[in-house]
Order: sequence, then structure tokens, then C-alpha cells
Amino acid sequence: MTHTSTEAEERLGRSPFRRALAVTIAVLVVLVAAFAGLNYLQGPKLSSATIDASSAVAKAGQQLRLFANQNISAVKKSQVTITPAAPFSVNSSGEIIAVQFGTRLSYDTQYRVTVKSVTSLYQDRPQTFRYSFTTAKAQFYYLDRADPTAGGDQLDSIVRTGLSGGRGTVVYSAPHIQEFVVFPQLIAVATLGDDKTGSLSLVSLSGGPVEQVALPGSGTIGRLEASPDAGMLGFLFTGAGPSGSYSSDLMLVDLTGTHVVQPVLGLDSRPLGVADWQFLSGSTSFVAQTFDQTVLLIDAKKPGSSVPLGQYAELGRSSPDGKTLIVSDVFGKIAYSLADGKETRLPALPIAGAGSFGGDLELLGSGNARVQQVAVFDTSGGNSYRSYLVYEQGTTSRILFQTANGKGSIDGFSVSPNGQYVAVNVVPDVASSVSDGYFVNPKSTSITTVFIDIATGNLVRSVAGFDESW
Amino acid sequence: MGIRVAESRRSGIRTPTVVGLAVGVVGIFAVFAVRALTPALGKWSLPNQLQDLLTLSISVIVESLPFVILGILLSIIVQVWIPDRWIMRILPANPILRRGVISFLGIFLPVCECGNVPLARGLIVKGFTVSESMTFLLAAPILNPITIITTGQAFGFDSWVFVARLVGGFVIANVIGWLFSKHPDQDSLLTDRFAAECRMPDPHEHGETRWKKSIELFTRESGVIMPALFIGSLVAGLVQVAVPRAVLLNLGSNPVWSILAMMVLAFVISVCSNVDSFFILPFASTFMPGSISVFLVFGPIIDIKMLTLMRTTFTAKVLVQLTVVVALLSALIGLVVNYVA
Amino acid sequence: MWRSVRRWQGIVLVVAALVSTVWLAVTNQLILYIHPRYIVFTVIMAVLGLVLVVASFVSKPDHDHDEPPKRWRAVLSITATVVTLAVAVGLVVVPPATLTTATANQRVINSTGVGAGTQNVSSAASAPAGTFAKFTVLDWSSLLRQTSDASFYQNKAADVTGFITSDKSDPDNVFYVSRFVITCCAVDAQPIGVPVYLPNWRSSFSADEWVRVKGEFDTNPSRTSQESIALVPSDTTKVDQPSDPYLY
Repeated sequence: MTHTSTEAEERLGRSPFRRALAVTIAVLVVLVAAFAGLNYLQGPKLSSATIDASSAVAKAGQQLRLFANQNISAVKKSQVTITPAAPFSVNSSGEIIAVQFGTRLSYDTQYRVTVKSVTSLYQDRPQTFRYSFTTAKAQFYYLDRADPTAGGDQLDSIVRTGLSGGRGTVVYSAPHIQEFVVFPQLIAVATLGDDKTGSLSLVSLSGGPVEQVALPGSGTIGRLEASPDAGMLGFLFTGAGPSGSYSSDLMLVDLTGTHVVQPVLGLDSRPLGVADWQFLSGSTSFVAQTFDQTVLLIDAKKPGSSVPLGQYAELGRSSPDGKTLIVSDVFGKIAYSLADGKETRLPALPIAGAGSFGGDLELLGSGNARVQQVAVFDTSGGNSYRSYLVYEQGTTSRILFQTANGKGSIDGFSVSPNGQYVAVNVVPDVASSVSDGYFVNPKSTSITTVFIDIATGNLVRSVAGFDESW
Repeated sequence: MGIRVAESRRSGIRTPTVVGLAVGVVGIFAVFAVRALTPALGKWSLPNQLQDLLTLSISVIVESLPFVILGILLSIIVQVWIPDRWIMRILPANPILRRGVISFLGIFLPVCECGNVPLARGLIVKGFTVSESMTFLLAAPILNPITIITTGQAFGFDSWVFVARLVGGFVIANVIGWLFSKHPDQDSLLTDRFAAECRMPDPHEHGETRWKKSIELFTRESGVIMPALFIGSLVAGLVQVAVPRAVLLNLGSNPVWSILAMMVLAFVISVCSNVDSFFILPFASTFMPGSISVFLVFGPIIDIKMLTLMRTTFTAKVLVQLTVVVALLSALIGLVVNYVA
Repeated sequence: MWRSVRRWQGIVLVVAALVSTVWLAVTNQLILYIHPRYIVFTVIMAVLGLVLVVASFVSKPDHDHDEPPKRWRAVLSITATVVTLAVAVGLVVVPPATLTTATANQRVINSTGVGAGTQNVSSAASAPAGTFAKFTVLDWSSLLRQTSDASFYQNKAADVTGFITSDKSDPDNVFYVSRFVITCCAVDAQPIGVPVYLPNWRSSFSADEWVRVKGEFDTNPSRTSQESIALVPSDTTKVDQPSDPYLY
């Protein structure tokens, strides 16, 4: 007994190695225990976050994903606050908190997201996550046509710019640009030749070569429309001359496949002639109005899928979510729900007590808030109408834009994809206006586009051009 | 002893050389022929588990083999071809500084951990103390250009994981080196067989050529390392077939348990340090950075394959002490990273 | 005596491993075990090793410094020798094979982030239709991880090849077309897969079989499966295992 204990003492106490080993292990055990405790008490931390700052302004339903450094218990909506306020829903699983925005966010705005009382699955140590991000700046393209009086061989330009000013970048120049549409990587441009026939070019935005799309023959292009998310574009084609076999027939081009122009076939298996048409937001479906005023809903990817929605005097614009369509009959504008066919009348509201006549209209979201062009009979200065652009919600209306002294006219308007701004194409003085004389889509040489903040009515920018594309 | 030397010399003058060569080459071709012909006999319908065990074990062997051969080659170069004390001369005399410099030798001898065992053995024979060779053995798999680049590529050169791995590897190697340098009897740390080899008189006395000695070393080292590699690979394969991966993944992102889970995973997986960053990268989203660091620090030093390989050189007791200290140090590094990152 | 057993055991194992490696490389089957990027290094080292082995046949045996081992150690040693030789025989004799569903199940399909960044939703959304036919199981599983929005998968025809692993939540009607993804060697193989909805698939296929599935993704019609999106096949055919069964 005595012998072994002294031996053990000797081994433990005297051997420097044994002692160093014992001390090292002891110190390490204490440190490991201490840090394990600290970790245990620390609670979760926000390690990273992702959001697509440009999609968030363009589409509703975008997600901000917050990644915690460990699995966390479920996060409820009440724990989350967002400033400036925006509708949202919250989902959490594992280490991810997904905040889904119910609407499109405002351009160039700093959003602050705070999640209170985040606890780990393993211990109850509430922590607050804070994250802020700035959304993308507004960016749009517009068409700046050359002044025909300034000389013969000037080119028309497509310009990319933002709302904060600056001259912008010319992305494409060509003689006689009729209209254009924008895709994420390219723009499709319809130009007019000297023989008054149209041609269609695909221009890469990253500086690649310009691709000519082969048309079904010689003829004119009209109503060029794009569905950028679905990678499709379409237009109305009318053959030139007596041999022209097409008359305002709808043609589609699938940019995700071979860039071949395909006519849309009607129920009689012949090319479908339409008066007006447009894609439903973000999809391969579109609505078209035939010459007998029937409005059809067609999915471009499903041949023979055309559904007649009824006969209407006019086909208007579709809502940003693609679920509601504006049509009109003799009594005025109707919001037509594509889901259940329900019709809601949208009467033009009186302006300053005077009755108004409703013109073109665009819904801002899924509700009935809208921007509308209206005309009011001008009783003060002669027998004329004055144009206004108004914001209407429920039973209230607010003037967003009117031309100076009532001399000008509103040629058209478009709302930014997030419903924050409206662009108004204005001819400042109708009396002195000169047309540029284009065979298709002629415009006044003095046409200007002004950009207005819908919430405040402030004019934020104006450019000398039109056909703005967000 | 003397008699046996005389015997082997007398019997090995000429004929056995030719016979040996002939038998050997014929043997190699025979193995080739067997390997080439057996698939023609058709697919073996082994049970899935057994088939996968074999595939996994072979995979570990095939993956490690080139590194082992490279390690043995470098070991031969260090032992036979580099002039005596050439390495010794450039090293500082102060033991702590000396081990610090030794930690970075891996930069010139870029082998992963399995190749490092023969190399470390070579260094001991060459005159390193056991604790110095341990420092080399533990540091070189991490502090070498290939590992540094692959880790940086996988996680980013400014990431916590990258820093924790390099600093952690250095600290662990030097703490272990310092600890075992306190041991009064360095030789007692080694297996009897290897200690005996180290005490061997310099073979130059026999007048052997360097080439002959190199080949002799190759045979001897492969005789020691290969069985250990085979057994280690088999055990690594067995554990992988037996332990469901989900058990480890479920411990996922708990800051404390995930450290332990990653140490177990590193122990079981036994992939080389040169490639383990790519292996663990897919787990980076599930596990916390500290836990990933633990995998990358602990794995190259202690795993199933490595323990069987190190057992050729060190006694079981040393390996237990080594494992305990390394495990605690790695866990500490992981916990600190988890706390700070 | 003991010494030469050791010596020859080492040489036999080296020969078995090196010859197999070289043969696998020559017949292009080394990819069954390691990532292609290591092949050149492995082959160079294997050839160097073989040169040394041949040289060792020329060299005469070294002197025997070893003491004969004690009895229990001898038993242990002999056992180890037998085991290693068994592995060596397996290495040389058993035809090379890929990992099977046993490992796929044991490692839990799609359980790690491996290959998560292979494709991304926004670039795939505008990709030409022709590219989808070339998407592998890895590409699709990467997309499925990112979005379960059924409309995204519309009009994107899939044509994928892989082996069958049954789905745990609906084993009769849903299976995965799966592949192993390798980052370094077969040891780290991670199973990934795309769920396929084929009611009563066991009547014509069985697990582990290689199949080529054509079809489109849609909301999973299965009631019990936990996968929300599944490939609804228009055509499923048995195929031979491809020569490069793993994905990287």
C-alpha cells in the first residue's frame, strides 16, 4: 500500500510531464466548460441575410431571409416590425426567418426589420435581430426620337436612366424606332424602314450582337408587348401590299427557345386577328380582343386554351398581380376578376364637383386603388375638355397631374411596377404641336414624360421622350 | 547478429536477386491479370451493405495511397538523401522556437496527415526528438500550402473558419510538443519496434549504397504503414455503414452539441486534410462556424485511420493522452469561434 | 522469419493497391472511388510506387532486427494480417461498384447543402428551353431546394437519369431518381435526388435500378409524401448504369 502510494506520488508529483499533462487537461476542461456555458447563455445571433433588392421593388411576395447562427424556435408575426411599414408575413424554420412582403417595396428606401425575442430551440435566451437594407433605385428606359427638323440622318435613341436625374445611357440607336420592350438581358426593338415596313431586332444589353428576328413576310408591326418573366414577346402583324396574308394577326416569339415568330391560332386554326392585346403580368397567358369585341384569355404555352371572357367595348390594362382585368362597356370601366368572372364597376369620380369622363385606368395593387386619366368639361374658357391624371381610392380622388393652362394633352401614362410613381406622356401645347410623321405610332415632336410620386403628387423628373419602360 | 548478417550476405549475392525480380514481376502481372479478368465473371451479388463497406474502404485506400507513397518518398529523401544535420542546422536551438519553426516545415513538405506518419518517423530517425516530430506531425497537415489554399478556396481567406484552422493547428501542435517535451524518457513514448529501429546503427557502416538504402526504407515503411492503412480504412468504412449520418446532422446547430457532433464526424470520416475542406463545405450551411473549425482542426490530427497509422510509431498510452488533449483544445477553439463569430 | 512476413505483407498490400489503382485508371473506373481532379496525381504516385516495388524485388532482404513477438501479440498480428489480406483480395477480385441505396438511405437524401448553388432560379427562369433537357439530377435538386413554386417549373421539360431510392413518406407512389455527388472521394458521397410521382412504381421497377425519367415537374399528387413538387413522368425507362455514375 505504502509502496504503491509513494510510487503514485512520485509519478504524479515528480514527473514534470505528468504534472504538465494534468495541469493542461485541468485548465482545458475548465476553459471548455466556461465557453460551453457562455455559448449556452449567449442565445442566437443573426449571421446573415438575403434579399433581392431589385426584385423587391418589381414583384410582390419577395422574401427577406434572415439566417440565425443556430436553430431557433418559431417566430410569430407579432415579433417582427418593419419601418417604413409594409405588409408582410413571417415564416420560420430551422435557422431561417423568412419575411415575405405582401406588396412591392418602394424604390431607393432603407427598410429596417427588427425581430424581437428570438430564442434558440435549446435555451431561453431572447435576442433581438436587426437588419436593414436599401431597395434598388428606380430605373427605366425611354425612347428619344430625333427631331426631323434638325437634319436628315439623325438616329432615334433608347435611353436608360433613373429618377434622380442625370442624362442616362443610350443603350441603342437606330433610324426610325417605332417602339420597344425590355427584358432582363435584352431589348426588343421595332423599327420602321423607308418603305414603311417594320423589322424586329433583339439588342443585347451586355453589348452582344444585334439579332434580327425573321418576320412572316414584309409588313408592319404593332402593339409590341413583352412578358419578361416568361421570356416571351408578341406583336400584331399586318402583311404589306396586296399579297399581304396577315391582317393585324397576333404573333408570339418565345425567347427561351428558338426565336421563331409563331402566329397565334384561333379556334378555326387560322391566325387570330386582334384589335388589342396584352400579357398578364409575369405569365405566358395573355388577353386579346378580337374584332367582334370578344375578349379572350389564352395561355401561349397551351394551344387551344382560349377562353372567351365576354364582349366588351374596350380592353384595358391588367392589374399588377395579373388577376384583374380592366374592360369597359358603354357605361364605363369595369374591373373583371379573372379568378371568378366577377365584375366591379369603377365609376369616374367627380373632380371639384364637376362630373368627369373616365379614360385609361391602371390598378395599383390588388384592391381598387387606381390611377386614371379623366376629362372634365371646361366651362370657364370655351367649349373644351381639360385632361387630368387622378389617383382614386374608394370614393376619394386626388389630382396627380394636369397640363399647364389646360393647353396641353395627356397622351398616355404608366405606373412603375411597385406602384410608387406614375409616368405621364404629355404634349405641352396641342395647338403648336408638330407630328414626327412616323407611319406607325406617330408622336408629337414636343412630347415629354414627367414622373410623379403617387403618394405626394410631387413631380420628380421629366425627360424629353416617351414609351417609358420600367 | 553478426552471424546472421554474414548468412544473409552470403545467400543474397546474385541468384536470388534475379529470381526475386522474376518472381516479383510475374507476381505483379498475375495480380494485373486477376484484376483484369475477374469482372468478366459477372457482377457479384453481394448484399448492399457489404458492397458499400468494400467500396467505402477501397475509396479511403485509393484516396490515401498517393499521399502515403509521397510521404514515404519524402521520408526517404529526408533520411537518405539530405545530408546529416542539414535540417538540424537551420533550426533554432531554443526548444520552443525550434518547435515553432518545425510547425512550418510542412510548407516545404506538403503531405497530408497519412503521408506525414512515415515522414515524421523519418525525422525521428534523423535526429528529431519525439516531441519535435509530434509537433511536425500535428502541424504539417494543416500548415501546408495545399491545405491552406483548399481551405481558403472553400471558406474564403478572411473567414473565421480559415483563421481558426490555421491558428488552431499551430497552437495544438506546439502545446502538444511542449507537453511531451517534458517527458523525461522520450524513447518510452515510441513503440518498442520503432524505438529499436531508431537505435539501429547507421547503415552506411555496411557500405550499402544510398539507392539500396532508399529501397530498403520503402519496403520497411510500406510494411509498417500499409497494414495500418488497410485496417484504418476498413474500420472507417465499417463505421460509416453502421452509423446513420442523420444522427450527427440532427445535432446540427446547437452551439455546444454541434462541436461534439463534428468531432465525432471528423473521427469517423478519416479524409485527408488536403481535401477535407471540400468535404465539409456542404455542411457549412447547417453547422455553426466553430463546429466546422473543429472538424478541420481535429480531423487532420485524430481520426480512425490516423490513430491506426500513428500506432505504428507511438504507444497506445501516448495516443490516449494525445487524443484527450487535442480533443479538449479543438473543442475550446470551436467554442470560442462559436461564441465570437 | 517474422520480419519477412512483415516485409512481404507490406509489399503484397502495396502491389494489390497499386495494381488495382492503375487498372481502375486504365479502365476509367477510378472515378468510382475518387474525384476526377485527383486522378493524375494518383496515377503518377501509383506508377512511382510500382517502380519502387519492382526495385525492392532486386534488392536483397534487410537484416532481421526484430525480436519474435509474444504469443498474444502474434495472435493479434496474425488476425490483422488476415483482415488486411482479405481487404486486399476484395480490392483485386471483386468487380468495382458504385455505392448503393443502402448508403443513400443511411446518409439521408438531399440532407446537406451539396450542390445548392449549381443552378439559380432567376437565371434558370430565362434560360432557353433546350438547356433544361441537359439539366442533371443535381441541377434540378438545386432548383427544388430554392423554390417550390409550381409555376416556375411549368414548361420546363426534364430528362434525368439516376438510380431509384424509395421515398420514406410515400414509398409506394414516390421514388427519387438519385445520384451521389462527390467532392473528394466516395467516402464523402452525398446522395441527392429528384422526387418522381409514379403510382405503384414497384410493379415495374425496383430500388437500385437505373432509370431515365422524362416529364415535367408539378405539384406532387401524392397525399402522404413530404415533397411538395414532384416530377410527373411521361416516360420512364430502365437504362444501364452510366460509366460515370457520380456527379461532381
